[in-house]
Amino acid sequence: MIQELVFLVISLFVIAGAAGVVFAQRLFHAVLSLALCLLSVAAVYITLGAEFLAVIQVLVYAGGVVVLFLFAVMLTRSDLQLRREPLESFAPVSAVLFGVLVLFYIARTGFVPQGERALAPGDVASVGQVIFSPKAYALPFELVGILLLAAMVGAIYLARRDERW
Amino acid sequence: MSELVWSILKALVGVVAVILFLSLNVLFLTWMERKVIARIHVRYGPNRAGPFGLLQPIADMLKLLTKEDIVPEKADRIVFNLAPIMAFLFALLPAAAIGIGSGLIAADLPAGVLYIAAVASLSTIAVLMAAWGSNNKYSLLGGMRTAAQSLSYEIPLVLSMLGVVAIVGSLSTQDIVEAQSSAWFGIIPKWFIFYQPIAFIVFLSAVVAEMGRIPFDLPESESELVAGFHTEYSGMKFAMFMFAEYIHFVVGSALLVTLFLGGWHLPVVTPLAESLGVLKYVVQVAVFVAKMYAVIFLLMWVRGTLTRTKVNDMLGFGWKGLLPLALFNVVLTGVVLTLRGGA
Repeated sequence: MIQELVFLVISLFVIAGAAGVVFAQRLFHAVLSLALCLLSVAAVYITLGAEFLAVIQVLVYAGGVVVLFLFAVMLTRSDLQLRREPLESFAPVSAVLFGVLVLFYIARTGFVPQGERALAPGDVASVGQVIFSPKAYALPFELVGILLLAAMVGAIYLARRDERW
Repeated sequence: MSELVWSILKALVGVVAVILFLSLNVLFLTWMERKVIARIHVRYGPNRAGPFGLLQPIADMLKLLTKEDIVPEKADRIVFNLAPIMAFLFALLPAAAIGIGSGLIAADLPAGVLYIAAVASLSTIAVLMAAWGSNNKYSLLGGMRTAAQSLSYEIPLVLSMLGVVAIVGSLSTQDIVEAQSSAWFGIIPKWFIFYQPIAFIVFLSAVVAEMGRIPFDLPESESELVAGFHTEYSGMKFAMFMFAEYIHFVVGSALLVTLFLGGWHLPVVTPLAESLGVLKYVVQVAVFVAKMYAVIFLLMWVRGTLTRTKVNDMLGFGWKGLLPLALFNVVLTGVVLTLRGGA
């Protein structure tokens, strides 16, 4: 009962944040709404007992990604008097299609718990065991690392304009 | 049901205790900082309000409370007004996972150190909100410097904690302090500053940068940027930013004591205090606070001695100096621990 209540309140914050991202008139407000949304999702993780995931969510998304977004907005000063442009003709269609798709999958789940959790959540040691053991996710983890490295090299290549450095 | 009420009550007590502890220390710190810096400058510092000027913080508070609250005409009002509240709130969060005595902790989280690193990174958002909301070029410049600085120094900060965490095998701050309880020959403490000297230096530099203090106070360097991100703030809102800044100071020093200086443990003293019953908590808190103020004094000394780094040096020092050093320390710790067959 209390768990459902807490979940509902947090969900309201998640939805309010998400709506703010879409409907905010100014880019800066949209990014701040995104921060609210991401932090509320972290709160959802805590209610599910996944403390480690929640902390990582705050560290990476709220502390890293949002700060980078705000930084970019400030650097470009792109939204001082930004007004929302009239909707493109395809935008409502794709929004409705996506909404139907999401509702379809939500209706299919029927809000039944999906069985026992695979690993003890919130436990850093067991998360580490799963990620780094060769039988589980070691290979995908390393591949993601290489992918990120490639992206980083690409970004640096694009950012440098001349050959001097 | 009564269990729920009990846990809510416990959480409330923790919150009140954390805020009380921080507020008292912040009030004292504002006086101490002015006094210490004054003595380094060969001045007297505040000496009118009360004995040794000890009532100066209260006079300052009354002054700030009664000042006019100004909101610039072109400011983004919501963001401008929300920023000081957010700064204050985000500054309080990390303190919850730092204990000042055995069991004297608001929330002993299993992922404690990681939690502190995560919520500490949030305060950048508040600074950016202030910088943007003020709609002032000095604020904006200060905000951008803050973002660049805190993003760059966060990485060596977290990496330097990793060595300690690897030795202890736990992220809980209570476990980390307990791991430093013993001593060689009963007098030389087994603190992690001796096991992890490189990490200590990296952590000290990075945490000063995260606090935004000299030599890394570029976000508000008053000679170039008026006051950086809080240029447009006055009265109580300005006070909240100052409060948040001093909370960072207290929390950063407390974290340093927890990770590297043995927390509330002191050879000879704490083992003796074990037999004192409830009084042992008094001894523990006293030891912890004494160490914390030693670190705080060191950082004030640094402020009185060093000059501000240049903007271009600041990022270079973080990325080319501290980061490789921190990475080297992680590798070194890993190799040594593996050779010794685990922690």
